[in-house]
Amino acid sequence: MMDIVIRLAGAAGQGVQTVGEVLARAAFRSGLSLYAEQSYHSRIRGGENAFALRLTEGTAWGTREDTDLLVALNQEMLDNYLPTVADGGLVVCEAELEAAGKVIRIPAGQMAKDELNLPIAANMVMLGAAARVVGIDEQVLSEVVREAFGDKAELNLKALALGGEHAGKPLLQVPLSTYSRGERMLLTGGEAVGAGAIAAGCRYLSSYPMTPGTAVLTYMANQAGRWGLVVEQAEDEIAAINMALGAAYAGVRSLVTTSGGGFALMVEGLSLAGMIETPVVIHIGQRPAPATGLPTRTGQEELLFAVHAGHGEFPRYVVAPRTAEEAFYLTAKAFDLAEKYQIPALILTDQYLVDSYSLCEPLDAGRVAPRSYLLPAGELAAMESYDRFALTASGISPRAAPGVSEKLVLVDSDEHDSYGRITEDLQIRREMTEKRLRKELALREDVAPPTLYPDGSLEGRTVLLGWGSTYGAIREAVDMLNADGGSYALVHFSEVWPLRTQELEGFFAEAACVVAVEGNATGQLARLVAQQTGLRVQGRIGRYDGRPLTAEGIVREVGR
Amino acid sequence: MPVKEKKQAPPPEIAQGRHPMEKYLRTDRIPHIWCAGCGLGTTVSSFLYAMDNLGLDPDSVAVISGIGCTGRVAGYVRMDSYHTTHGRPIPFATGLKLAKPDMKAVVFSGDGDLFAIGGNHFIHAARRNLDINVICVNNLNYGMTGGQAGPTTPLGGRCTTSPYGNFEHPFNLVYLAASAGAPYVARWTSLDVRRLQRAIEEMLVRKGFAFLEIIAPCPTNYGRRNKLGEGLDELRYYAEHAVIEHGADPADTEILPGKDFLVGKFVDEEEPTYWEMYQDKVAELEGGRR
Repeated sequence: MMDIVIRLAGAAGQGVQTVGEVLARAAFRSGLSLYAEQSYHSRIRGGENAFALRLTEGTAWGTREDTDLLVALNQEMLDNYLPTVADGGLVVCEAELEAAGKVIRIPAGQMAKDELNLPIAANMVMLGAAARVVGIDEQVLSEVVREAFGDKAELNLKALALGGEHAGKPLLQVPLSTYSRGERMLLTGGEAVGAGAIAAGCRYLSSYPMTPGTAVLTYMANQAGRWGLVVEQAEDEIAAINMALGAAYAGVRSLVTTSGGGFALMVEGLSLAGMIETPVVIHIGQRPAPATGLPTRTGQEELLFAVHAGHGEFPRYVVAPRTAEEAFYLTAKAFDLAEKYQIPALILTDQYLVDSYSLCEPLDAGRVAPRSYLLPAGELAAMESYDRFALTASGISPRAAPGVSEKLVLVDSDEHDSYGRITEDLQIRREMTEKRLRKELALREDVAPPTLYPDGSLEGRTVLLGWGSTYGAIREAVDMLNADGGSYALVHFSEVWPLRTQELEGFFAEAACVVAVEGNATGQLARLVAQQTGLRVQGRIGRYDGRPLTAEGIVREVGR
Repeated sequence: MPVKEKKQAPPPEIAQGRHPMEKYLRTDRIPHIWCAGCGLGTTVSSFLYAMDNLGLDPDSVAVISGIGCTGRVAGYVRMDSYHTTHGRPIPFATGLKLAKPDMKAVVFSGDGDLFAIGGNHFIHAARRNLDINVICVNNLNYGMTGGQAGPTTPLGGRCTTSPYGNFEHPFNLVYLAASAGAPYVARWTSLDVRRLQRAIEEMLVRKGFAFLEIIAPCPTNYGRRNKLGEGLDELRYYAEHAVIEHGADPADTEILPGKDFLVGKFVDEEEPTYWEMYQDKVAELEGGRR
């Protein structure tokens, strides 16, 4: 099966991301099945900046470790990634770099300076060369460059042509097109979270920048004019979540985006959301911690934190989307359930999902059109009295926005009575605690069960248990292991709290063995499952070096 | 501190002992929790009279409080109100104002809530210049939690957490607010009820961020520990030491124990507000004009 990886690597500031995105977009326009992973150091200049574009015949479920074409913009990245170049793989690099083996040298810097008088266009010369070697449709590529650079396109197009000419004829072949224009969308996980929020009726975001959560802040800020969003960059994460709660109190769907460290500052506000039963959606782009950790890398270290964070006891909903496509729909679901149950909802992605490009069927905003759970103004006005926290069988009280009638909407971070008045009445305290917790009963029914791949009996199979963005890697690993005569299956959670346990008991009973595969060192899902069911996994595979789990890596670990 | 005896006419009788501004009060919550001699009651009254004098619809005003004695204000006014967690009334008001710009957002909180745990929010709100009114009742310590030292406790002030006297320089709230860019900054004592009312009226009708500091006694904690006498004695002290000087340089408004200090309106400027600039941008994007 045709499957090639083009890896562009250079220092920060050399334009790897720009070039990579242009290449990915050209492949997308050409109807190629693709997945593109970005990896970078936490700095503005120097260091590592890599963009890996994988082109496949079937669905590209994730990234790969090895390289078919390495495009190296400096010596350090050439040395760094040369060991990943597969047998029969190719290297395109700057003419002056030193490398053994089959290397196509392009004097890109020289050409950009001498022939274009634009040294910065060296990366476009390299792109032209790489595109020629791979056999990307150069007309489509030019079209993408024209759109990306606007007025400055001409020199960049010349740079592309220079690189292409110098490289000569194609040496690799891209897979066949599998879709026509309009049949797929190309998007990152970060864009998907933002788009899902907007589709779900979110019109307010306040956040403090923190990689990789910032991607959603940037996306929303750029979409503000088009959708009438209010986007506020707060002074810190404490302010961010409290601002969002203020907006939500006013009846506006609100989002905050951050990473683990920023979420730590938001925890007080999370508990407040639980107490005042005001919906808020929190996006946590995970990265390796503790503390600042590896700021631009990926990991799955915040599952237990997200599930347990906050002082006191209150219900919450936590999702961990598998793909960008699912990030769109689950973000929308997070908004819906946050509104329906008046609870905080958390979305766990990670740097790998946030920054990677993948394909999906056109997103259907109609499927997630927002349903209003707010008490209509007319109904509120007609009520004899209004109790914001009325005790109900479901635990859900009618929620009104302030200022729409003479009825007062009172909320209090202290324990309060049904009207919202501060109280220390112990009977009311018990009733309010039970009312808040009662909401989880119905919420549990709204949580989707884990997915099983491949379908069928687990008898005699080893189950790889995962959650979140590792779906693609584990799924591919299962295919590779089964093709090799193994008997494996994947059980995957993308809605992680409240944890559905009924299916798990069946899976554990049926399977020969269960191995947790997670992007952390301690097996957080495995621990959560044990806590909730008493069931224990027989093995664990963890990756915690800041890089994403890959199918090859999982297969290697299983073999041990 | 000398205590002067002064003959005063008794206050006018009010029918059935009811508060004249009862329409703005949640009478079911009265009596309030504040101590005798505390400045908070008169402060709230001034606010209600200001509302009344302007003829403001209580449904158009939200009162947001933090935690502490002043934090309880939100619980007594018959308006949409929000009693937030400690230090967070300003961010909450910011979100509310951004989501519902036609509603007036009045933050009523204390010196500890607004300037210790919430200090960062305050300076950024002043700089952001949204239409938010912040009324800080400064009683020089944390009253509700038992009299701990706070960000405005004077040097040498004795508190439960500064039993040997306070070694930390206090904030001058007027200077801080002005430095952070607040376009309206005033200070009065809780004795100046008419001036307070006027200041609050000005704040309620003006654009942009407005800050009012109210110096108020805390006879139960700060006053008692620092031998300042009853609430009335503290008020007398303030009456004798507060010197009105409108437009004084905020840098000269420091409050030092035993010395005269300045009250008045120190800053009243027109700065483009967040909301004006936001609306201009929206109009520009829509191709129209405001």
